[in-house]
Amino acid sequence: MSAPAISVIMPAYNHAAFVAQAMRSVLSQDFEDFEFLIADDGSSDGTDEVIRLVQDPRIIFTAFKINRGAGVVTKHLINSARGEFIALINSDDVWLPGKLSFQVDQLSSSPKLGAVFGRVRYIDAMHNGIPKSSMQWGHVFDKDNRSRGKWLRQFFFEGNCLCNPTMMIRAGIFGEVGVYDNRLRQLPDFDMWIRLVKRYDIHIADRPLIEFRMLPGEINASGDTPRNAVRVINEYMLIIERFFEGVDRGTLIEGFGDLLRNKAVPTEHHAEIEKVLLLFAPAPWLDHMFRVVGLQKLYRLLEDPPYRRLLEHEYGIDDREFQRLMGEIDTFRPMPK
Amino acid sequence: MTSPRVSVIMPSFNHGKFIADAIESVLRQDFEDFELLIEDDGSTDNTRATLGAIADPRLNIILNDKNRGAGIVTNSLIGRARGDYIALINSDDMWTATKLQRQVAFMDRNVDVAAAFSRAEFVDAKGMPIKATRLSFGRIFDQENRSQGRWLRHFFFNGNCLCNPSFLARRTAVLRTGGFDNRLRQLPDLDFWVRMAKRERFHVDYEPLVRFRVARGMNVSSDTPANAARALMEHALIAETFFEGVSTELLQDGFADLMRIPRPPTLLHSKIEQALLYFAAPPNSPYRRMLAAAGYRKLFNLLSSSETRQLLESDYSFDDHAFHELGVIGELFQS
Repeated sequence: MSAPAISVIMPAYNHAAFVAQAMRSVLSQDFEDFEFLIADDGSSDGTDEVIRLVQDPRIIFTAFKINRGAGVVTKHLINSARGEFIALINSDDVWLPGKLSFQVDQLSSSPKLGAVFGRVRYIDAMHNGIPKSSMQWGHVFDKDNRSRGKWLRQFFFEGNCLCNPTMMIRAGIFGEVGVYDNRLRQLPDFDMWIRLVKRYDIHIADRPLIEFRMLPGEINASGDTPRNAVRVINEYMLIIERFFEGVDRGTLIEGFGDLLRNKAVPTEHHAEIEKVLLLFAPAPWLDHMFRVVGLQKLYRLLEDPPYRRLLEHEYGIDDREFQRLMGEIDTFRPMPK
Repeated sequence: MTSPRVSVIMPSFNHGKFIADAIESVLRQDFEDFELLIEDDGSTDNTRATLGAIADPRLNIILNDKNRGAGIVTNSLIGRARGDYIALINSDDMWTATKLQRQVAFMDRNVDVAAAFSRAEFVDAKGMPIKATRLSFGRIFDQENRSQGRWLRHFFFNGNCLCNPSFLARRTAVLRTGGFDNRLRQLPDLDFWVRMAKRERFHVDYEPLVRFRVARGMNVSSDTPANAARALMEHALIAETFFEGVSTELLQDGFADLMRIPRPPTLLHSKIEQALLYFAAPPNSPYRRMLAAAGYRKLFNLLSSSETRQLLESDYSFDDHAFHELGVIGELFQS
């Protein structure tokens, strides 16, 4: 059996009311050379039974009994995929007609592109449209295209802006930069895109490719509950700590040049220092978190003689300046009751 | 020239109002076999003039033009010390007349103890006693003696509680511990005690042997918002590497009742137990949120190595799901 051009993967969990529509939106695509890998993550609402009712020779379905999280299931699906490209759909979203053919053309004609994304329309549980203007983050996916360095800058200061269920990616990239990290619940995709754009160009279509379901409460992971909002910040911190790992000097200059103290970044040591000092640049949100991470990194750099010499002589940062910065943020005091 | 028994070291900075009293309290000690090494950290007040006016054969003064931080000056003084014991005093504190005599006698008798501390009474800018009950930290130095592990536990959850200018220790033990970390401003002493307690035994005298200066805005302990914020951040830095070099025995000694597996069978188990202790702070600990933030990061890393991930899952029932739950236990970073 020859490998299909595309592997469409769908991790499914407790979306009995929506999964059939999601599946039909894939099976009715005008580009037909794909396998459709579906895995149920131990749903308790009969999602697996609904999936079995939809028949198509391209479907390969696995039902797991135990719920282990979207990350584990997605990883399983990626490892099973045989296509050259992988496209992902959530079990409550709907692809618009022509989505696959449009993206296959893009990836095939631009060998430098690692992955492509698109904009969305929002729908509610009843498939009614939700205007973007009615939501705080309604326009979050409507971003202009830019260079890898500038994408990193966007991610660093503003957070995620790529819509996971619009993605089509070259399958080999997962082997190179790793798959979604299941330790993260809110931001595994964001973490993935950062690793992706460190090596590959990406492109976002300027038109909607999918209908993105917004459900109230915690029914899907994006649900805007206080618990999730807290976890987003904590996971963002884990990501920010590793953000610049593997970012070369050229990308650093290209994305953040105007914010660097020494714009030429003459050595790797300078690059490491500049990466830490970017955590002290004015951030539009979570300023405190950035600085806490920055102070921890600066503390360690000051322990290392070559970095300490550079910091003192070229950046004017010595123990005294470090101590001053340490007194400027007030994050860890117990919060007033 | 024979070495003195005790090297008294005094880092000094802009305490022109107090330093003469501090020096006098040393020179008038009942115990006389010491050298007094003073190093000024680039004071800009009348400190240097005051130092020039005091004469005593046991006195040895170094003046620096540039202010570089107490850590650098203290380390320089330690490097010059020749005595069997090193005793530290700040340029604004005072000792009671029996301080050295009591501590030297104790240390001579108890060779297994490496460092001696004491309680303190508090005095104001004029040297007048302040009642402990009038200070929020008035009882902080009134500590019972503890095992090494229990000291570590106290430092971890409750922070510093040893009186810096009461410190007298064997010079060899001070050198083994390493220097004071000049990156830290509020808690270089806590950082030093933590490293020292990992290898050495402490003793706290119940007698107040120090007259500890509390003068608003006049020293590093002053209760300003910047100092309070910095102290918490510094505790976070110290907490980050807190268990480095802590043996399983020491871990059990200090924390067994808080551990899931009180007798960790392997070093990897000990490592996991250490990470979980960041979530075990008592409700009255001021560091609960900060420790939890550090523990959250440590568990994230332990889940990335397949060895520790397997142990976490099999012996602790801790998996990615459990980690996700930790992410919601409270905002680790307020804005």
